[in-house]
Amino acid sequence: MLENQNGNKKALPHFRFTRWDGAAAALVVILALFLLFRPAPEEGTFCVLTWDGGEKVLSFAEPETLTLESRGITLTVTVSEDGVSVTEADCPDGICQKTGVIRHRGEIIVCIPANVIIRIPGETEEDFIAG
Amino acid sequence: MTVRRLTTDAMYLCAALMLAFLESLLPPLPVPGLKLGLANLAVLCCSYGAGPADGAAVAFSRCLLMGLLFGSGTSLLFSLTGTTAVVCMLCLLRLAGAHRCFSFIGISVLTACAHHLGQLLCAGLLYGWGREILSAYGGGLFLAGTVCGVLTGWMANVLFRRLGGKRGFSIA
Repeated sequence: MLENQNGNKKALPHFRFTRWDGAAAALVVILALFLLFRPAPEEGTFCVLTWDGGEKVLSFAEPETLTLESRGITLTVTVSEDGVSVTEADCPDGICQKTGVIRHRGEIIVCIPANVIIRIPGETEEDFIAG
Repeated sequence: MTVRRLTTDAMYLCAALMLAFLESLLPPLPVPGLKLGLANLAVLCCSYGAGPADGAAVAFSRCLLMGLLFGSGTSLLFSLTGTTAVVCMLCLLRLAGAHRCFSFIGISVLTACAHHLGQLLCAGLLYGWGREILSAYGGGLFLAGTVCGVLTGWMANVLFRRLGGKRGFSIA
């Protein structure tokens, strides 16, 4: 074991490039490239809104704005051709508003204090309603 | 805590602050938190030259001092989350025995990765978890971070090779 300045016996890393370094660097680069160039997910055509009072399917083809109340928190959800978003909410953190507009399959907006979830399922509307 | 340990850690901190100051002189990029990470060189050297506790102390002190002297509130927050992640990663690597197979290049790349993960977390909490945050910001960060990590690690390699050889860093 090598000795460092405090007089403790401690091991130091190698001082020359090793193959593990190359592997680590390559791994991170692959991760970065994947994040940059991953295939764009499909646009969704509808979303599912779930709250304490029930569940509703909203289609992007029919723009509307609806207000709901769940666990004492009032939320305003706006559905348009561009997607769905929470435009107003009196929840303490407002993360649901900060998420902005979602339009791709698999995306999700959550308001944890209100127990409200807006998600865009991966299936088509007919399959979702049937299943 | 001997006087020798205290003063050597202070010197590491000084080096870290100087490197961070040099970095701050470079033209700022519009991306929050994207930095060369030169000060990590000092943190790495301290962590393996003096000890993990010393490395953590220097890392956090540098972060706070830089934030107070040169930074704004947002940059301090980003720095803090990044530094915490770096310290955790260094402890993790030490426990996993990474020094047996990695040189400073690998350790530096992994700590840069951890730093950016911490910053991503911070950005996600502040700006929401949209796609653009993860893809463009995250991807760009990791790419730049790998390059800078390799550079910093290579410099640490050279330092440890030339100053003290097998005994590692020995100042005074």
